[in-house]
Amino acid sequence: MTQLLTSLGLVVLTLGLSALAGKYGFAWQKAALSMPRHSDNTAAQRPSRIISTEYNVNEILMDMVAPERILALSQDADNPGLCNILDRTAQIPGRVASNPIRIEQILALEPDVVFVGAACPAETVSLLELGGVRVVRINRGYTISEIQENIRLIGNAVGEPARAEDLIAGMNRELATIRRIVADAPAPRALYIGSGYGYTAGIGTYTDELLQAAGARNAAREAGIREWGKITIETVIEMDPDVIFVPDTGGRAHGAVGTRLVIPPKPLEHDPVWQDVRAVRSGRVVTLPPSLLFCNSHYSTWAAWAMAQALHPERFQQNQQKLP
Amino acid sequence: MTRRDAGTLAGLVLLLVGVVILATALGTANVPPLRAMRILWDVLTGNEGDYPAWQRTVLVWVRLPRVLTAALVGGGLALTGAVMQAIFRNPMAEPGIIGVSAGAAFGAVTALYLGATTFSMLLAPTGAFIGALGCTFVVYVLASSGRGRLSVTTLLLSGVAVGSIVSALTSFVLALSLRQWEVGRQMLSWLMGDFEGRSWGHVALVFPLTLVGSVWLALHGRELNLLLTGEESALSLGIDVPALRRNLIVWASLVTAAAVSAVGAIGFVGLIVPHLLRLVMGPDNRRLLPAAFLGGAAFLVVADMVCRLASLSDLRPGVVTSLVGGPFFLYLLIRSRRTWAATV
Amino acid sequence: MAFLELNDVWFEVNGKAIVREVSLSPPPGSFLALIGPNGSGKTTVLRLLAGLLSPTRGTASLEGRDMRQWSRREIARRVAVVPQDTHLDFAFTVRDIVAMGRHAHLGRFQPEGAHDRAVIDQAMAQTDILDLRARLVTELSGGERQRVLIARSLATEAPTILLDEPTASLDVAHALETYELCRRLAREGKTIVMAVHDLNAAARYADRVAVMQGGRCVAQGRPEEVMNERLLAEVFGVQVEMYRSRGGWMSFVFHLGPVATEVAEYPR
Repeated sequence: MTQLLTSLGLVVLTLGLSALAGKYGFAWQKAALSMPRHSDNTAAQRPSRIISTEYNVNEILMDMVAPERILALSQDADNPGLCNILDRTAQIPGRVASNPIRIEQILALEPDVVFVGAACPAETVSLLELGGVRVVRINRGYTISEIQENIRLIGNAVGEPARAEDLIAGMNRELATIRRIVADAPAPRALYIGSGYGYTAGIGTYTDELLQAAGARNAAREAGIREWGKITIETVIEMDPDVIFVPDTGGRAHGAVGTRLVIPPKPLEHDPVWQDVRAVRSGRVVTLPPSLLFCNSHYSTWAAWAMAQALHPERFQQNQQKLP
Repeated sequence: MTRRDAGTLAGLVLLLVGVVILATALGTANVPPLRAMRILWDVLTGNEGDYPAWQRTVLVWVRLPRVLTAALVGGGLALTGAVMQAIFRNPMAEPGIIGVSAGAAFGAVTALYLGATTFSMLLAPTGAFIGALGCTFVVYVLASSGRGRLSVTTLLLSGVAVGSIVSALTSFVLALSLRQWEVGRQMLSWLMGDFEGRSWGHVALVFPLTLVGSVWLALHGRELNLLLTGEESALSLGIDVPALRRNLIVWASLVTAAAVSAVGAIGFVGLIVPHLLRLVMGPDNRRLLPAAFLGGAAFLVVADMVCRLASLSDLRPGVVTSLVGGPFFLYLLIRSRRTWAATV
Repeated sequence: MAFLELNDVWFEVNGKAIVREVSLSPPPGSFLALIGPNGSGKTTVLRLLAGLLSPTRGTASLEGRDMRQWSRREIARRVAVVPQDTHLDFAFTVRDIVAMGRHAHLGRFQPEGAHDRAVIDQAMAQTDILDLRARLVTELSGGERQRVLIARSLATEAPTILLDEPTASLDVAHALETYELCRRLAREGKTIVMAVHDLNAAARYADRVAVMQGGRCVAQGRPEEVMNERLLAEVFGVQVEMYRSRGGWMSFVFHLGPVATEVAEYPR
């Protein structure tokens, strides 16, 4: 019996020690090392050593500040599938890892401010701050208003609030223009399918809002799908969309809806199951550059242009395209 | 202890120290290794050096705690792996066998799903810890609720069953969160194990349990040897087998839970390191347990270093441990002339 | 107050009685042989004596107290067990295995002392395995492993040793040596209880014999009194002929069917 009690006591004691050690350990290291390196206010208000670790921040930043103020962009800045302004990002030599973020790499560059994404773990943020860096965490940017919030957030962080408002206003103008052009046109039913695995853009995503701005009815919205949910092939056939938007994956399979993976992979136009869908039958499967579809920056309005053109080609005789 | 075994232990200590120094000297940031040593020396002696402040920050606050966390976690996992192999009399047992890993994964994933990281850094590890212990508790209670004595086979099966259920629930929560990709990414990062961002707070979190638990377990080497000869044999030699097993499982679970909560699920260390060392040192747990701790610590520090230095920035410690440990183990197995199991 | 005692003990599993109404108290300093066909409960009786099983009815007691009140350490210092199954999965050396017998005498932080080493060496000498001390048990033959386990039980310095068919894998010479050793140990004061299938050996070496059949102990006593042809024939279901060897001890010859009718009278 005494043995049981001593064992129990030892366990409880050690657990308590661990909990206390953990709690005070984190607090102590914070207290021991919170030294904002660039403590003069001008640098805080108008940072000149900026690092971006997210692909959408890359694009927003490039249009908001002079290139000399950007220390490094995330690796996605060289990825044609994720970056819409490759020629401009190529002018900035610095690159940092984004998944996972490498703390040492960032601290070695001695930045003023670092932009991290919503997926960045709390430990990384905490350690970067310990290293004297200002960390700004953007939100997840699911909807157009969230994207615009991010633009505003970035603008305030780099001391360019006016520029941010300009970008936001530009987005709104473009969307208004598109809406005007396609106004009163019959809205076809459209569906967006992410590359593989059956993810689509449901209620509460910017793609959904872009489709609506471009004058379409989002089949995923009508099926009640929220955010980036999955859609089954049966639902797709039932909805029978008129147009399907897919990212351009170079001819590889992008129609793998649900568990239906086709071996060998083929584009969904050649998949017999998809032949029942009106969009496939009438040849209206539109591939768009992935960088347009995935970017949740102000460049997403370009996607709306492309979608509107594919949906209502008759309204676009004058050259209003702005695709690169 | 034979001369050879003492030599092996001393060698392992030297290996660990050397590897820790190496891992602290090298890293992503471009700090010349010699200067890294000088910085550490200056920190110990309290000097101010003439190098940039960020280098000191990186060394002392980013790299050193990360290496120490890796060492503590690796040592703890390897030692508990050896203990589990003795309890189950099976060289294929590993620390998570009675549900610790599955429970920790579920706890962490649930905490992340509920948005833990927006509140505090401690919530995910706490969730993992509670999940780990809760799952182990359920496994143990279910296995011992029968009329007869608790047998290791029942414990094993209970662990497999409960572990499967909990893993399924974890996958479910993961699938739920894939709709929001940033939460999904964090969960996947946890499930693959991650040393990035481990700071002195993490070291403080892991150190007490790992130290006390490892010492307690290592002191029971002789009893573990007797357990290896069979349950009835151990009973007749004077060991209260049910009580010993219960205590061993409690402490092994605590150490494993602490390790896994801090860095996520890293498998293979607890299976491979004791295995390798048993091929070299024999099954005597009095020597094997300390050796396993040292070996596991060194192994994981090296794995973390590889992750840091590899140009593929997406490499995770769990991947490295499997890719490195597996082939090396095969090689040793083929070469070894000592048999550790006549039949399976 | 006997040292080890089973008093009217029953052991049931799933409603089936493996051991019924067995009362047994091996006298100290004697060699008791348990004989009986397979499934008669010999192994179960040994495990009950060792405290590894608890009787469903009746009491198993050690030094007058119920076995359940003793701690395993205390029991281990008094009763040693040599199991039938010698299978060892892990590559310990012979000396490691024999040294395990000292566990019940050593405290938590206490390493082996001079006395322990002496006991271990003597145990290995008595079982003739000194030259095997550095070998791995996984490399030994079944008979050698059996001797290692006997040495381990000797190392415990327990006054009672229970052996379950220890000579099953031994050759003739080593089997006889084991019986000789056990008889010698009994003369030196140890209590030996051995389940044995070799009836000739039981008759020759044991001081007392207990005959098991169907879970009951049907006869107990000195070999001369207990081991007669009719009892053995009944218990084992064979025809039995008993002879005297030149040394004067009983030898048995067994047949499956009826004995040839020419030999009607046997020398007794």
